Amino acid sequence: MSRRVVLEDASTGLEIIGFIRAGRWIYMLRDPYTKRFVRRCRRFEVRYIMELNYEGRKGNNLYIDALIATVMYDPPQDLLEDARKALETELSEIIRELFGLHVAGMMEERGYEYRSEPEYEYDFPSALAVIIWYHSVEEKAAPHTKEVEVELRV
Amino acid sequence: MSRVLKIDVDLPYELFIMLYKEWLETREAILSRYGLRVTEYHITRSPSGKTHVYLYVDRPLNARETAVLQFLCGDDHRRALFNFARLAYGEKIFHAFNILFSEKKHVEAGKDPIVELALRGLKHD
Repeated sequence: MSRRVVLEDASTGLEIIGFIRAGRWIYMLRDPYTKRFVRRCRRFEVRYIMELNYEGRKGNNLYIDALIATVMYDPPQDLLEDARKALETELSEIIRELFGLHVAGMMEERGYEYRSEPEYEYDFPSALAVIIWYHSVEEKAAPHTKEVEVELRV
Repeated sequence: MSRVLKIDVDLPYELFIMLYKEWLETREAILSRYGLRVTEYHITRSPSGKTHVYLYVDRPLNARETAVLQFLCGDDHRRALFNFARLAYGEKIFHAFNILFSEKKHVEAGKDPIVELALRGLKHD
C-alpha cells in the first residue's frame, strides 16, 4: 500500500495530500499544478454520494440524491480506507431500509468527495446521511427529505 | 451561498491544459457580463482523466446563479441538467449536491455493498 494519500479538495480545488512525518500522518493542502504546499489541513470531510435517476414506464419514476458525511482528523491511511467502506455500507443500508434492496442495488452514480471546509460537523465515527427523493415533476417542488445520524462501524 | 463554481469539462486534462488560457479568458468574459470577477482558479485531473475546474468569484452566489453560471461556463450538460433539478431542494442542499467526484466508484459484480448486505441477510435467515 502506498504511504501517501492524494485527494481532490472540493472546497478549494487544491489537493489534500497526506503522508507520514515522524511516525504520524499529517495532511496538507497542495496546489495540483505547481505542487507547492498551501497550508496544513488538520481535518477534512469525507463524503460518499449515491444518485439514482430512474424513469420508468407510466410515469413510475424515482429520483434519489443521497450522501453521507463524516469529518476526520489526520486519519492514518488504513483508518481512512475503513471509514470509506463503513460510509458505503451505512448509506447502502439506509437506502435499503427506505426503498428496499432492489432500489438500493439500482443506485447509479457513486463516488467520493473530500472537503477541507466541512459542511456537516459530524466527527468520525459519527456521520450524517442526507437523502432526498421525489417521484414526479409535481413532487420535485417539495421533495421528500430525510436526515439520519449514524455511528459508523469500523 | 458559495463563491466557487465547479466546472466538469469533458476534455482530457492534457488537452485542456494546452487551451486553458483561452478557456479562462472566455469564462472571465462570460462572468463579467454578470458583474463577476474571477479571483482564483484551480484545474485538476478528474478520476477519469478529464478536467475539473474550480473558479472563485468575488461575491457569494446563490443556488440559481451557481447552477446557471456553471452551465454557461461549459459544465457537463448532464450534470447541469441535474443541478437545475436540484434547485428545488433549497440553498444548503443544492450546494451539498453540487458535486465533482474526487473518486468515482466502479462497483464490480459481487463487491457491491448491497450484495454484501443481501448475503448477510440471507445468512441470518
